[in-house]
Amino acid sequence: MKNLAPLILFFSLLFALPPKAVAQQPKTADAQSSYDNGSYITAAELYENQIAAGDTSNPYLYYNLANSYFKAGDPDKAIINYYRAFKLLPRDKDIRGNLAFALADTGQRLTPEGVPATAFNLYHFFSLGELKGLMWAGLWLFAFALMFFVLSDRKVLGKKLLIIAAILTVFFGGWHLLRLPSESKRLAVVVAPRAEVRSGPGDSFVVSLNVPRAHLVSIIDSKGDWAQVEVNSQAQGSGWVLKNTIEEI
Amino acid sequence: MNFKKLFLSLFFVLASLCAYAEVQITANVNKTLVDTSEDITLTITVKAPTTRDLSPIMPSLPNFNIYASGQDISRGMINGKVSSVQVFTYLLTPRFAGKSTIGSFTVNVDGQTYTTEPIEVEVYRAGQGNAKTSLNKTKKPAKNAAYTAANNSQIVQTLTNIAAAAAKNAASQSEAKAADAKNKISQVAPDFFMTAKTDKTTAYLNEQITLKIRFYQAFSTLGNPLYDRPKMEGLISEEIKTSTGYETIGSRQFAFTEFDIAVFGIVPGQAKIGSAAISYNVADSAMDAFDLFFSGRTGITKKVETAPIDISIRPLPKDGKPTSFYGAVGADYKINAEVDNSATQAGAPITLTVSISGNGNMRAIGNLPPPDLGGSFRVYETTSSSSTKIQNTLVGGTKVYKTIIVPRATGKYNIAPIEFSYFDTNEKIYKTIKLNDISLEVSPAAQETSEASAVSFAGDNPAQARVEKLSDDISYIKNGQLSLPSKILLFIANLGKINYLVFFFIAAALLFYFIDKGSIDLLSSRRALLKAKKAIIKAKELDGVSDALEDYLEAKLGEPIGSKTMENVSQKLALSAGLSAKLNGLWEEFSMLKYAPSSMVNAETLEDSAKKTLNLIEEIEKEIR
Repeated sequence: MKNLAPLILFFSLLFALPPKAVAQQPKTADAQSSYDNGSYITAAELYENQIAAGDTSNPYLYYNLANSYFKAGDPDKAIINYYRAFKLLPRDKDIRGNLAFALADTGQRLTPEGVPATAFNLYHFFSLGELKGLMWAGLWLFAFALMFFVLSDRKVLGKKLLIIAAILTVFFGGWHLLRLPSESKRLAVVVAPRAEVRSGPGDSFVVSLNVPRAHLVSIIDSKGDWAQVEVNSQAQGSGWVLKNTIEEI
Repeated sequence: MNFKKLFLSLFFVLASLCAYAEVQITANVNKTLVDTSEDITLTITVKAPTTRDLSPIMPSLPNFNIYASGQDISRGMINGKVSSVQVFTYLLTPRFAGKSTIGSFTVNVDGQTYTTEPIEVEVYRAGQGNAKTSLNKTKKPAKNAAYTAANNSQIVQTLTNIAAAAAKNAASQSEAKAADAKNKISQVAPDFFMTAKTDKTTAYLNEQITLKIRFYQAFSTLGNPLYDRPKMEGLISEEIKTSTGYETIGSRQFAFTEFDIAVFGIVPGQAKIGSAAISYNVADSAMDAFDLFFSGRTGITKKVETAPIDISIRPLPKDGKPTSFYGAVGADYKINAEVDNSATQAGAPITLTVSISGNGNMRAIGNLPPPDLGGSFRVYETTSSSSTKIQNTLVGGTKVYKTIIVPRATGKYNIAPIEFSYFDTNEKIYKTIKLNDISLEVSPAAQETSEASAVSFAGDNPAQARVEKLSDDISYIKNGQLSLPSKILLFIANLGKINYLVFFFIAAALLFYFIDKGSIDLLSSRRALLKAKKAIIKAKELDGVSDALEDYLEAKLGEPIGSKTMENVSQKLALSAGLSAKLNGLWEEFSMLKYAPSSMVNAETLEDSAKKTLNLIEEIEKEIR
């Protein structure tokens, strides 16, 4: 275990490094200039164009797009894009902070009630993709450690490597599996002034809940123009809403 | 065959009723190519089988300043069903150059949503005349604003006041005169006529033009006359009042009904007030009073109408147009702004009310921008309402804007001066009204008060002063990319099926492990040979060579030699007698040299022993393979 501590410390420091500063592309500079001038809609359009052009793995593009929408007074689009950024880089305190701010502005919470913020932040230190990568990296390390142990005469070193790899694989694999069910949920945000939650997929069914704009729901199923959703707010419940009243994150 | 005819007739009747019942909403603009200094007139026309207000829901139009220019509703009946044509006019001022889309407007009628088609508009910077010319060649001409009242619909209005006035008049006429009129029934037209006149034929955009329509009648009609409003082209109208009276023309006295209407130009250029008409019934010559009373017949229908009037609408001057101009045209505008609570607590909402009153079309005034309060307040959407007030023949009223603001932090604040400009139609200039600042004092919220009072002894002592949080806002945008470790991890995560190869490697490693540990001595045997050869070559003393031989033999035996003799070893390895003898000889040689004087063990002896050992190992390998 003494040998494992520096390794964990190294990993933590590696991921806690600030984001890699990059030279601004002309489009990014234009978008930032529009944002600075208060032309938030123009800024949002420019960021949307960059994402549409294929830059879908950069969390900061979604974050900046969300900021533009938030400033333009469009909380639903802001929350959608903050969540997209949060899914890619949950440990960034600005992304997390702005998502929590936008949710609080619409009466929602990022941290579940009763859960300490530090525990929530630690639990979401890695993105689901990173945890999956760490799990597979652990398995690869285990395989190479096993080869080394079998083929090399340095049995003691081989044994240590084997134990470290096994622990990392179980740790990150378990973490990944723990988060998988909750994060595999298809989250969506209400983008209409309100979404009427009905007891069935059709206008003939009674409305049981009204979910206001920018509120989160989870998609369970879909049928034609209707989606079955679970409401993620204090008024718990599920039902069917028109697909065009929500947008999946 | 008859059934077929009946069916077809029914089908067409139903189809026409359905077509009528259908709600239609259309959007038109007067031009799709403008410069940044020009206005676009957007007209939304809603035809629906209802007379209630169907104000459309506007899409987000961030590229334009929008001024509601007016609303005109024509109500009517077709086939016994009410209907209306509602025309909503907006003036759009482009904010940026480039292509913009006017999104879909929607109306909700009985739970159904109807939308307009989006309209593409191209805006170029003012002064780029060439661009306009060249673009005009390629663009289709914009549709003119289709601003007409419900065509072909019979707008019916019962003119009870006309009937009443005419009845009074008729009562004073002698029976002989009535009989004479009856004899001249074929020449009834001169007894009924209409006039229409305006106070001006040239006006600025949104400036009031007063239209007076009079219906003269020399004697009473049968039943109530029916009034058709004039159709407006490029204009909207607002009824001012209806009055009745008498006028002597020549030697004849006429009863008249006057309709006073305020008309506002909504599109610069030529506009037109169409013909107003009145249909009325009079007795035909074959009918006497008895017939009229008992037969229930309504006589013959006649119609009189006014001549159309052309109006020239001038655009508002571009020079000197203030930035705080939101479409108000008229005179005597006043503005007032107030908050419902100037001393409030952080987090408690305050309503800022801005009222604009004056003479002019209030609905032409667009939305005021939200007050600039910095980041210390959360500002919610402004709602507006307008009321119309008519003084003499001048249309005016009040427009009220209410904005809810919530202070986020404590302190003293000033709401920046509110400016409002209008075009004065009397003096033909823009005028600006500026209000004073509105002061607000925000104290801590209830739970903060106790906390603050607890440390109030701190006073002005900087050493005891604390950082005060003024407002909350989102963090600023940032540029960057995922770090390299993250990218590597995501790359590994996304390898997909390639990752399953790891199990092959683990299986292979385990296989090697069990082979290595098991009786199949392929690897360990080979490795023992290589190791022994390496050790013998590197040996600098005789002990090194003998140790290498011993290690080799132990590896082959799979157990330590310990007290075993070389005979035992040879037996266990099943060596031939010759090779066993060689092994014994070499082992004895090592024992002898081990205890021999150092002068006997030299480099040659070492080399010779190493060669012999290597040869022996090779031979053993060959024999036991």
